[in-house]
Amino acid sequence: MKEHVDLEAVYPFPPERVWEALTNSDALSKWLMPADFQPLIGYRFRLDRPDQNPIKGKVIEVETAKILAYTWEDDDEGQESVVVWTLEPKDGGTQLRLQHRLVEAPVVNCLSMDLYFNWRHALRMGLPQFLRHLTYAVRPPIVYVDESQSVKEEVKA
Amino acid sequence: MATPGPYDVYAAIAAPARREILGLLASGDQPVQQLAESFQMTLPAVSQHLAILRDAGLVSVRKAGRQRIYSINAEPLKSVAEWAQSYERFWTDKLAALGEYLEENP
Repeated sequence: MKEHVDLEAVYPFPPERVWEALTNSDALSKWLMPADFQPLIGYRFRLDRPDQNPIKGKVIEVETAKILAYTWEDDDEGQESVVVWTLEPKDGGTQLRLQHRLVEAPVVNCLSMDLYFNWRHALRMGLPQFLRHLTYAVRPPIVYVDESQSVKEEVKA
Repeated sequence: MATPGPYDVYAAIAAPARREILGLLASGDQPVQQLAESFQMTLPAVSQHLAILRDAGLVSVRKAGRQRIYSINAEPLKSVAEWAQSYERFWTDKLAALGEYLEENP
């Protein structure tokens, strides 16, 4: 059963150009939806849809021309999911990966947790596992020592 | 009670323990004691997972004598699959639109 969206596309343009199209409000308005967007961590953006409530969300990761992640809040559904864009140079163009995932808990702590965790590590682990680590970090359970050591090792690697 | 949406259902199946419980129930109905033994969990721990699965509509329970027998109901999983399918269509279209935008605005 499919639980997440995970798509890839290759464009014959450099990552910087694709990044611009993903993060500039005018560009987004042309190919996605009328947008108020800025690639700044914590920025609350909105995307307007005809005849529906706008999509709202918060930017949670920005690494220029590499990674862009934001929460995706559909008011008509009432909860949030997470969208992650990953850009990689490929043959003079860009391989773009899009992941859109449900999350089992609201993404409230990501900003502060960025101080302790590498978001790319989270992508490798998959977001659900990552969120469990966040929970551990906020309220360490007894098993925390083992968990944190394995996390630190992976981050270093 | 409102029908659980994809978010509720996903929250219920996100925990590995609850996925394992569903996996076991997929092979046949089980009394709660047997589930606890299979996973070497305490009865309260298993009951707590089962309560979350019940709220999401993923399991149902019936009494047989002194036993409470649990069975799986996979129907709500459809809401997660439908969520993913509908966004997959949406983003497939948008990735194509992004390609056109890039071609037209090099």
